[in-house]
Amino acid sequence: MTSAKGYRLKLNNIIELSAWLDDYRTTSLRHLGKLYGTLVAHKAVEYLDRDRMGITDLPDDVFAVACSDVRKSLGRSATGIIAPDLNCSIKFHLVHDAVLATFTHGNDEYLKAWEANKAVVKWGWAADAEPGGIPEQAWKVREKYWSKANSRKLGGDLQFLLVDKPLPDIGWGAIWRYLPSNEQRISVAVEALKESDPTGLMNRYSGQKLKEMVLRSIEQEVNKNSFLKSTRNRMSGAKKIRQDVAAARKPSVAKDIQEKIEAKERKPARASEIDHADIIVASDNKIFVAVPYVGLDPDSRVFVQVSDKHVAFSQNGVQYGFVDNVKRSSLDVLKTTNQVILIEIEKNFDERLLRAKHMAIVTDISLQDGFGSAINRFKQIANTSMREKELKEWEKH
Amino acid sequence: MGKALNNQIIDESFAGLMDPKEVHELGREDITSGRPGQSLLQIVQEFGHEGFKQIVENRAKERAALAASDAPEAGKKLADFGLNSKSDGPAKDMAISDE
Repeated sequence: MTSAKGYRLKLNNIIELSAWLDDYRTTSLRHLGKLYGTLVAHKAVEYLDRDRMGITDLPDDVFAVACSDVRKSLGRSATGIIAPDLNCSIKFHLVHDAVLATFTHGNDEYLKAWEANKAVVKWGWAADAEPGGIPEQAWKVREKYWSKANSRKLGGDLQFLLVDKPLPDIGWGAIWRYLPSNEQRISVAVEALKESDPTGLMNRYSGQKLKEMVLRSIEQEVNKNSFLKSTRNRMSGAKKIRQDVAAARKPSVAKDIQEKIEAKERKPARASEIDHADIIVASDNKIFVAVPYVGLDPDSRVFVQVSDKHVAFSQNGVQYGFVDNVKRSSLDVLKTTNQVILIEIEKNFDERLLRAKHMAIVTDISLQDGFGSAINRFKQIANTSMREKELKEWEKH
Repeated sequence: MGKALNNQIIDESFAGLMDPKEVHELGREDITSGRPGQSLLQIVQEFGHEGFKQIVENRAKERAALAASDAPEAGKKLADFGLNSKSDGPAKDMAISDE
C-alpha cells in the first residue's frame, strides 16, 4: 500500500460523517467485489481449462478452491493487513472543527474513487514540504491543524479498514461477469501445457501450434454448467443436492453396488506392451485410438508419436510400446490431428472392458526420423571409407 | 461387472462411435477378432442410444438440482460484501448496498 497526501473532509457533523462513510464503504466494496471477483474468476477458469486439457482434474468445489488460492496469493502485509493489494484504509484525525484524513490503498481504483468524492479535499501538509501555490496564510492554517494531529502519539485517530477479516468464498453469481478473455485464457493455458510436459516435447511446437492445441481443448464459452462434471456436483454449499444428484445418477451408472465393489477390487489383466492399436474416426470426426490395457497413469499426459513407419505410445518419458509397419493412410489420419481420445481396453478371457480414457497428444516425429536416417547414413559412409582405407594400408604391407 | 466398468468410462464423447466413419487396424495382423477397436465399438453399440439418452437426462437432472440448490441463497448477502448472490439468470449489478 502507498500513502497519499493528507486530505480534509468537508463534513460538519457526525451525521454527515456517518452518511459519508456509508457511501464510501459502498463504493469501495464495489471495487473490492470487482477486483476479488476477477481474481477468483481467472483462477476458476484456469482450473477448468487445465481439466479440459487433461492436465489436472477439476477440483470438487472449484470456486471454493479458487477463492482459497486467491486468498493465499494475496497474503498479508508486514504489518498484518489482510490482502494489502485489495485493501484500503482511512485514518481520520478529528482536530477541532476539521476532519483530516490520510488515505492508504492497494489498488489505484480506490484512490480514484477517493479523490473523486466531492467531500474529499486535498489538504496535505508536511514540515519539509513546499507550499506550492498555496497562500502563506492558508499553509499556516494547515500547519496548525496537522501539527496538532501529528502530535498525538497514541489514541489520536479513528481508522476505517476495508478488509479486516479474511475474504469470503464467492460463487458463480459474483464472478461470472469477470471471466478472462480468450486471449488471457490461451496465454495461461499454453504455459500450463508446457509445464505439464516433463519430456519437453511441447517445446518442439511453435507458439501458434500450442495455441491451436489449447483452442481445440478448452471450452470456447464458459458458463455455470461448464463447472459441472458428469459424476459430481461442483457448486459450493450444496451438499444435500450433491447427494440427491448422486442418488439420481446411481441407477444408470451401476444398478448393483456390489458390482461396483467387485469391479474395483478385481486386479485387471494388463498387457505387457502396446503392440497393436486400432484407430476409429467417429461420425463427429473425433479420433479414437483403442489399445490394449497397460495401466497408463490417468493423471499424466499420454503422447502418441507418429513417424513415417510406426506409432509409439509414451507417458512420463516411458515408452509403453509401439506398432510397426503401419499403413500410410492410417498414419495420415493421426497426422491430421494434435489430440486423440485414447482408450485402454482390457482383455480378460472372453470379456472386453474399457479400463481408461485418456486425452493423448499426437506428435509428428517423421522429421526427426529424417534427420536420424540422414545421420546414420553419414556414419555408414564414414565407416565404410575408414574400412576401405584400413584394407588398403594392410595390402601395402 | 464388466458392464458397470464400461458405463463408468463411457460419456457423451463416445456418441460418435455409434456410427463410425473409418476404422484402421494397426499391427498384429494375426489378431483378427477381439481387437481393441472392435471391442470398443461393440461395447458402445451395447451401451446404445438409450445409454447416451440416459446420460443426457441425468445431466439435465443435475442441472435442475443445481439450480434448485442456489435458490435458498438467492438474495442472501455475502459476508461483508453486500453482494447479491442471485443465480437465476443474469445477475443484477454487483448490487452492493449497505441498507
